[in-house]
Amino acid sequence: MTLSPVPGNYFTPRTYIQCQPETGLLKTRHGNRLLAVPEVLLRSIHKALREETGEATPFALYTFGFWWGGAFYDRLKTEIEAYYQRTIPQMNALEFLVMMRQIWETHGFGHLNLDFTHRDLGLIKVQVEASMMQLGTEIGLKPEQTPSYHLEAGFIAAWFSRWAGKGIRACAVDLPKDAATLMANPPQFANFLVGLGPKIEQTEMWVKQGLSSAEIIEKFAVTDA
Amino acid sequence: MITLLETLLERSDGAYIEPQDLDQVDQTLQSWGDRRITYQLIQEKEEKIVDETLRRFQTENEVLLRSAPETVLKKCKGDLISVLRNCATAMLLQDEELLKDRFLYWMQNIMRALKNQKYNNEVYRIIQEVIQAELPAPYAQLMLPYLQVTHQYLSE
Repeated sequence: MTLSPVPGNYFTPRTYIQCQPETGLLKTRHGNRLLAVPEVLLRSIHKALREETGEATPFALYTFGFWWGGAFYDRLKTEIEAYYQRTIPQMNALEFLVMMRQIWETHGFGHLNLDFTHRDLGLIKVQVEASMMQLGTEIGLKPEQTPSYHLEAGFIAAWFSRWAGKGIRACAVDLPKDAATLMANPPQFANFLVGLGPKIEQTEMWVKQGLSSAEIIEKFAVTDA
Repeated sequence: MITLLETLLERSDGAYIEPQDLDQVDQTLQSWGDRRITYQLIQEKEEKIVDETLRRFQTENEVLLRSAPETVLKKCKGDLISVLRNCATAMLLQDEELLKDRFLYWMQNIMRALKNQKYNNEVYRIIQEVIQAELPAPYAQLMLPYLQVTHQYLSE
């Protein structure tokens, strides 16, 4: 008796990541090569970028994250569609989001929480806990500066842009006040607002003025009404 | 068994495997024949087990299902097949951790998002009874622990 297989949790770390100790290579179960990014490399990237690009570092990190996230989505799209025998738009949105959380965890990008409460305003709130992309973000900051998670923002923006087929941006919100606050009380989470380009550009300006995500959402609620 | 063997390898690094650990492997292997038969039976009876579980779920839960979305039964059927196959493999390999890692944590996420726990609470209680009716007692007993843990995970 042959029964057709039922697709399961493709991205479970137990089978998704396969290592070949003799060659030192990591591969996905689909056969794509994986690269392990050691903490020291990640810190060095932040340090080198800070030294080379100075004030433009956030922009450089965002662009870097955006390219990374885009390439990541394209690779996973091939794997997902090959395994589930469906295109991503054909997938049940809820199952896709659960899969997305698994993808984040398996790749070391942390625990993802998506909040769609403000979808009427065209905003998604994304909370990421314990992401490796937050490592090293404090390097080279002046005392009054605070990490802005531009690498991760770019990554998330690219993922959602590819998924929605629209120009989506992301911006970190509710950041610690300054470097001292950060050091004294390292945050467990990073929060992002995700939405269409112009909306997030406005958000970025408000974040610079020191507004919290709640205040920003309130402002949008007033202007959109 | 896979988790057990992985742990043994790790623990016995540079030494011999402890006798009590070997006893545990002996015990695990003793039931292989029965597990193999149970696995085969479940595979052959998959359709019957699934259909019977759904039939009873429908007749016993008219009130609960009256307010349920139409897609619930179709979703339940697909999930039941997944559960049965994953539990059968876990039963064969005697590996509850494998079941959790590969299947239950993920499925639990989906169920919570769909708020399907109250249906699952019924479905995965009934399937335990159906298994006991369909399989000879010693074989059903091998399968039940895995269905119980599934029941617990998917209904909370």
